[in-house]
Amino acid sequence: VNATNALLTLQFRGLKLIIASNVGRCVAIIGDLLALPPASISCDTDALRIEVHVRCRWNAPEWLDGASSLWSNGRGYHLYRIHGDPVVLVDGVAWARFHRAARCLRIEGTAQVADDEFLLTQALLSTLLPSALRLWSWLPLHACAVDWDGRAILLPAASGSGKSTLALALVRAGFRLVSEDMPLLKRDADGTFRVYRFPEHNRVLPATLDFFPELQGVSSWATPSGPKLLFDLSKVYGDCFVEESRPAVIVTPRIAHAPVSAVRPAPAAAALAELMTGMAFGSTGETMADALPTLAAFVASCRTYALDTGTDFDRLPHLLRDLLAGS
Amino acid sequence: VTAQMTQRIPLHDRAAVAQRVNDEAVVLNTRTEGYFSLNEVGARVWDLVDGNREVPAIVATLLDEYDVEAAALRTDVDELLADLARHELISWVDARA
Repeated sequence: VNATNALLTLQFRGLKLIIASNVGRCVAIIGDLLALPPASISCDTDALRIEVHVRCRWNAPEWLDGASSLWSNGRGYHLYRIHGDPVVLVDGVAWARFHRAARCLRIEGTAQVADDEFLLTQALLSTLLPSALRLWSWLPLHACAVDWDGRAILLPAASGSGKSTLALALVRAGFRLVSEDMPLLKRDADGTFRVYRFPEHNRVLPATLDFFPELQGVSSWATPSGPKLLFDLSKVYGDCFVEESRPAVIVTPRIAHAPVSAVRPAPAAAALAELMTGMAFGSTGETMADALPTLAAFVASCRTYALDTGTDFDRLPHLLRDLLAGS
Repeated sequence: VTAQMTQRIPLHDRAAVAQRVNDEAVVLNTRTEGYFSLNEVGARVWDLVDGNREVPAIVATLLDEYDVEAAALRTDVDELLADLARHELISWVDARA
């Protein structure tokens, strides 16, 4: 029996998140990552538990023998599936499993879990959190979502496709940010789709800051997180966030390595493929299948474009605002 | 069992998920994250791949549904299935003789 030494209860709309650990620092790291209010007593009792257990020495989970391997990066980071549950394993250090039936995201590992913010939040927690949120009808998208006057543009793309840079270029031009990396899609009772903010601090590569003069000083106070810097955008741009928006346009970006950006209509299937790919990481075929019809209906409800992102960051926001006109 | 008696049957890969949107479909391998867009006829081929139908049966069904020339259709279906196999979206099983 493991004693729980730290406990934090947060609320995300109707959902309660209970974060527990035998090491207080793990709870503090996750609490810092998720800028969510504490749960009220009257809040819905339906809860997602996030449990982090730090051990003195590494123990591979005994159920790993029965797990089927889904993916490995060749450097000790693996995805598995066991009884339909997604599992992340970092060799010799830690594992995370989302127990769907128990509605519990369990992380176990060595002291490194408490010492390495990037390992805990990005490698372990954020990989499995989307699968967990889908149980509550939130559909996390791997996309940047920005709002202009109540309507949203979604920019779905793989890591390294310039989402963070686009988010900055658009926010500094007056767009408001729903999410840089993980907006949550939900279909309302009337069939309307909305994207919601799941509050996490922004992460950018140090090199990205060089594009924007007002961000030159950020590296002196931002928190390093793996290869990126973690910081609160509102400290630079003021109140630049919006809690929800109605998506009208999906734009699939890729870095063009050219001075001038170009946008063109693209088939809905291309946007769907990008969104499906973003959902695949940390998912299994079974857990994805339920979400796909909703995702396809969502794509069909939007106009779809492809964007070659250039370095014309002052012109780019106008290009994207024009896409919202008439929608 | 001679070569002529063995028909190969296409079967969806376990890691493949497919979804239609408008007149097209996207098939994704959740393991490799490789994907493939299919047009309307391609999406119909995907639906007909069920681990039981042999390729001639798939082609025969399509000939009933679309106004196309048989030999050209067979070539297109063979090429599509070869592409899907290359992307690990389908595999081949031998039919029992």
